[in-house]
Amino acid sequence: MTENNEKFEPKIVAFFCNWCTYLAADSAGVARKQYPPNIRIIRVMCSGRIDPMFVLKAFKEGADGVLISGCHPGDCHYERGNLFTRRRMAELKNLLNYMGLEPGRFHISWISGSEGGKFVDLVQEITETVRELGPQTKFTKVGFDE
Amino acid sequence: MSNREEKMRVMVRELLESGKIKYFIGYEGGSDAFYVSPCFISNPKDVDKLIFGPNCYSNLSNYILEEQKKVLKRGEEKDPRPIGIIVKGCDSRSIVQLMSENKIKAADVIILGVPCKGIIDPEKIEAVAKKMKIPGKALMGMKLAETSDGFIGEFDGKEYKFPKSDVTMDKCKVCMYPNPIISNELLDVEVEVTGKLDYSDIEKLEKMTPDEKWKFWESEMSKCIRCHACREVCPVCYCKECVVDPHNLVVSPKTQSKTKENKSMWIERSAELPENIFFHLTRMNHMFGRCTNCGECERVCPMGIRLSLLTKKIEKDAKELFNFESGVKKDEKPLLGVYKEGDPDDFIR
Repeated sequence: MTENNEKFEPKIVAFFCNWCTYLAADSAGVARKQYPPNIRIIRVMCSGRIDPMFVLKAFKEGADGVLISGCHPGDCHYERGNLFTRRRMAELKNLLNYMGLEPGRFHISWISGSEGGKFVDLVQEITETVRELGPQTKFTKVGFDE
Repeated sequence: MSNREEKMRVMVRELLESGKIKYFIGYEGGSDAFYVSPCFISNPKDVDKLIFGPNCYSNLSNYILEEQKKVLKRGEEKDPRPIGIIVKGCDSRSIVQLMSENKIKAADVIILGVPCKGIIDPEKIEAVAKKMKIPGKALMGMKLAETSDGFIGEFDGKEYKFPKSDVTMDKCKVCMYPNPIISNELLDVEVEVTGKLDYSDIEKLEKMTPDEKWKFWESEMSKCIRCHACREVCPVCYCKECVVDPHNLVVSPKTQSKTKENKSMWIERSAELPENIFFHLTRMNHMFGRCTNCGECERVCPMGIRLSLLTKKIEKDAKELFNFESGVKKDEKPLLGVYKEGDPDDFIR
């Protein structure tokens, strides 16, 4: 746990699709754009690979926020993987909000390979939102921290 | 004895004697008037055991799938004949849903449908009887009859009246499909739809702040003892291997404890709050677009968790987001198995 006088640094788990958003993160790095080190990127081959259980597990094991990102609709490397994700995640987001998780902790976005700028802005914005919300304690297993 | 009960027995006897069905799944009398148990009849002599009345609460469609779990002995051939089953309106939706998922075929079952006017909740009627000071013996042994606005129980020449709104199950008040959607034979004339869609309890929860919602769900979910009764009773929860069970791991003397530890660790079996939430949310994610709101999970829950608040929520979301209702059309594609260009995307940045 962080001490009171220290600034709270949130942990954000990010699931990125290999073909778009991971590339965007890469291009942001190549362009030497600064973004907060709070996100932990997990690369998946397609956003369609992301099971709602991944998100729940991340929250259970102490993530303060989760970001899911893939290609824009129509741009999917596998034609329609992200469109299935869109349906699944619509419901997951509703259920998580329904159970009392703050809406600012779970984000879904479409970022294409060339949108390095959008990626940096989004990560900065989400980090700030989660930082304001403070540590996520609701879904976290007790004593799992560190 | 009601007319439809007699009609059912005649039909079942005929089906069994002619050998058209393997066995019939119905209800038989239980320990008292309001607790009935499911029964499987394969001998025409036993047909008189079958009952049907407003006390037959359980959803029998789950038992059709038991047939598929059966392991054949060597040399034994599969019996191709269908299974007979009796369904109410709400149970028929489960069967339609299973058919749309290709889990059962229309030729696998012979369905006797009963248009339903409401089913008695055993817990509610016990509470009402306590208020009316009906002796326990009378409650246990009474014979039930349906009237237009309630139920009449008869015992020892005395009659007790129960108003319908006090004793029927919560799901009956919002029931939109009292008549079976699918059936080979109807045992009664079709009834009017009297239920009204009501999501007021869901909307009330939705309007709360995150912390208020969490306070409610924290107290609900910490009750859970992870007996998995909700999963077992659910007609559409039929996976051979559930994410909760680690039974697919082959253990040999060389298997290290670390391997066992790491296998199937999505959800631990311990009844801790985060694990309980994970379990129920995962179940709801798997039920999305498939749950027909038959209310069985809430009925069997030994801890009284209000699971209907979750199942109704996913039903409402499926309707609002995707204009989809499960268990209504036999040849509909599963909700999460298809997509549309214009699916809602206002939550995506």
